[in-house]
Amino acid sequence: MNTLKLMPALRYQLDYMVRALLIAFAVMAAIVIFISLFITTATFGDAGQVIIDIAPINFHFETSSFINVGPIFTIMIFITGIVGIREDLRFFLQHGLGRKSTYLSTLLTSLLCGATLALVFELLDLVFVNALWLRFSAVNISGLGYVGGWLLQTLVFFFAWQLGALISLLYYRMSTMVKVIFSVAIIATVVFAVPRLIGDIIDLVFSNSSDMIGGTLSTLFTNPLNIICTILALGIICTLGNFMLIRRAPVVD
Amino acid sequence: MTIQVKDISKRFCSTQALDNVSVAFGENKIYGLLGNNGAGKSTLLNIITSRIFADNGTLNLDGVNMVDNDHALNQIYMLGEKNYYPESMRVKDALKWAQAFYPYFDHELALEIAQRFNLPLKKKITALSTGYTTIFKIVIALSSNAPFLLLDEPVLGLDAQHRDMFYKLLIECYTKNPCTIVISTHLIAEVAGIIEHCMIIKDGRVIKDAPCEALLHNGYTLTGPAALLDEYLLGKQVLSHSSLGGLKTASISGAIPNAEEIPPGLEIGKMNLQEYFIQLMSDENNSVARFMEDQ
Repeated sequence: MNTLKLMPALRYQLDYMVRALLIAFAVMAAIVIFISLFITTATFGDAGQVIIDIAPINFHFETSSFINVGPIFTIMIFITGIVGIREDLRFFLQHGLGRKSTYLSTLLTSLLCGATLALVFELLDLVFVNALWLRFSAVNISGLGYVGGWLLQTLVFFFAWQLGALISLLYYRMSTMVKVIFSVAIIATVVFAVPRLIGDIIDLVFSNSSDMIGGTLSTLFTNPLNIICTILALGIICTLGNFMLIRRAPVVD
Repeated sequence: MTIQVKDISKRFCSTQALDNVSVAFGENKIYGLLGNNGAGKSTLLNIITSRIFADNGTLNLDGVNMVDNDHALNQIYMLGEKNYYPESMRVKDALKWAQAFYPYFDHELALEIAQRFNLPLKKKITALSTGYTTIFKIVIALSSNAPFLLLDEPVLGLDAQHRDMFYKLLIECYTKNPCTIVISTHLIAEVAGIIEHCMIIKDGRVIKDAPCEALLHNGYTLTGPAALLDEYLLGKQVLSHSSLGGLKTASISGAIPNAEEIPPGLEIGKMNLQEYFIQLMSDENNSVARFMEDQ
C-alpha cells in the first residue's frame, strides 16, 4: 500500500510560490508605478513614449510599444521550475515523502499557480484596458477572447514550469561528462547557430511554405486553437519526461 | 513494526558499497550501526530512506515494500550528514514545516530542546555552524516522534558538553516515547552504554548482528600488576593488551571466571565494545571472530 501524502507537500509549495509571487508583484508594481509617474508627468514632446521605449520591460508590436509584465513572470516561473524541483525533492524526502508525491505536488502547484496568475493578469488587463502602454498577459492573440487568453496564459506558465523542471532533472541525472558536453553544445547553439538561423526559423513558421516542416510549424502556431493545443502538448511531454526522470532520481548531495 | 532489509546490494562504479546485506530493525530498540569509514553504513541508511536505490534486494516495513512509499517513509526520520533544507529557510520555519509533515511532531518539545542547546531560531539553517546544524537536526529528530529514528553520525561537530547533553536527551526521549533508534557512528565508546543491539559492517557486509550483551558475554578484561597478570595469562587466549607504567590491562576471550578464580591483585572487568570492534576490524578472521563464531 502506497498512500500518497500530497497535502503537506502542496501546502509547502503553494506557500512558497504565493510569497515569491507577491514579492515579484510588489517589485513589478513599483516599476510600473515609477514609469507611469514619469509618463503622466512628462509634458514635453514624445517624452512619455521615449520612457516606454527605454523601459527595461519594453516590447514592440507593429507600430506601438508597451510595457508587458507577463513575460517577466513567465521567466520567473521557468526559473522556479529549474530551482524548485531539486530543492523540493530533497526537502520532501527528508520529511518522509517519496518521489511520486513530489512529482504530483509539483504538477498540481504549477497548474494552480499558472491558472491563478493567468486569471489575475486577465483581470488586470481588463482594469488597465485603457492604458495601452501597459499589458499583463504574456500572450495576446486576437480572436481568443478573455477565456481563451486565460487558458493559453495558464498553459504557457504550466509549460514554462515543466520545461524548467525537465532541464533541471536532465542535468541532475546526467553524468559529469555528459553534463559538460551537453552544456557546451547548448552554449554553442545559442551563441552561434540561433542568431544565424532565427530569421530563417521565423520565415519557416510564418510563411506559407509548402515545405513539410514549415507547413507543420505554420499549422501548429498560426491558429489560436492550435497554439493552445501545441502548448498543452509540449507541457504534457515535459511532464511525462519529468516523471520518467524523477522516479529513479537518487538524492545524495 | 519491523524494517526488513533482505539481500540488499549497491555498487558505486568499482566500489561494492553493500554486498547482500540482510538485517532487521525491530520495534523499540536502540541499534548501533558500527563500521569504519566507507564500510557502507550511510549507504544502508540512505537506501532504507529511499534517498538512493539498491541494485537488488528487498526492503519491507511490516511486509510492505517501502521503496519510495510515503506511508513507510513517514514512519522514519533520518538525521543525515547532508543538509536537505532550502538555503533561505530559517530554523523556526523548519520546525513549523516538520510539524506539517510529521503528524506526531511535538513542537513544544522542539522549542524546549532548542532552548536547552541555545539554538538560534531566527537564523537561516545554512548560516548555522557545523555543530549547530547538527543540533538543529537533533531537535527535529527527537521531536518528530517517528517510530524509527535513523541517526547517521548524530554528534558531528558537537563539543563534549553538547554530546553529553544529546546522549542524555536521547535516553530521556526514548524512555518517554519508546521507538526504534539506529545510531551509525565512529564514536563507539560514546554509544557503547546506550546501544542494545550491534550491527557491525565491514566492506559492505554485515559481519556481526547480535545483542551487545551476547557479543561481549564471552570475553572479559583483567587489570593489575604486569608480572602477576602475565603469569595468569599463560595458556589463555589473549585478544589484546596494553601497559601503563607497571599496570597492564588485557582482554581475554572465554567465559567470565568467578571472582575466586582470579588471583588477588587483579581486577576483572567487562570487555569493552570499542576494543572488541577494533580487534574485529583489524582482522576479520582473528581470534575474536573465530572464538565468537564457535560459540
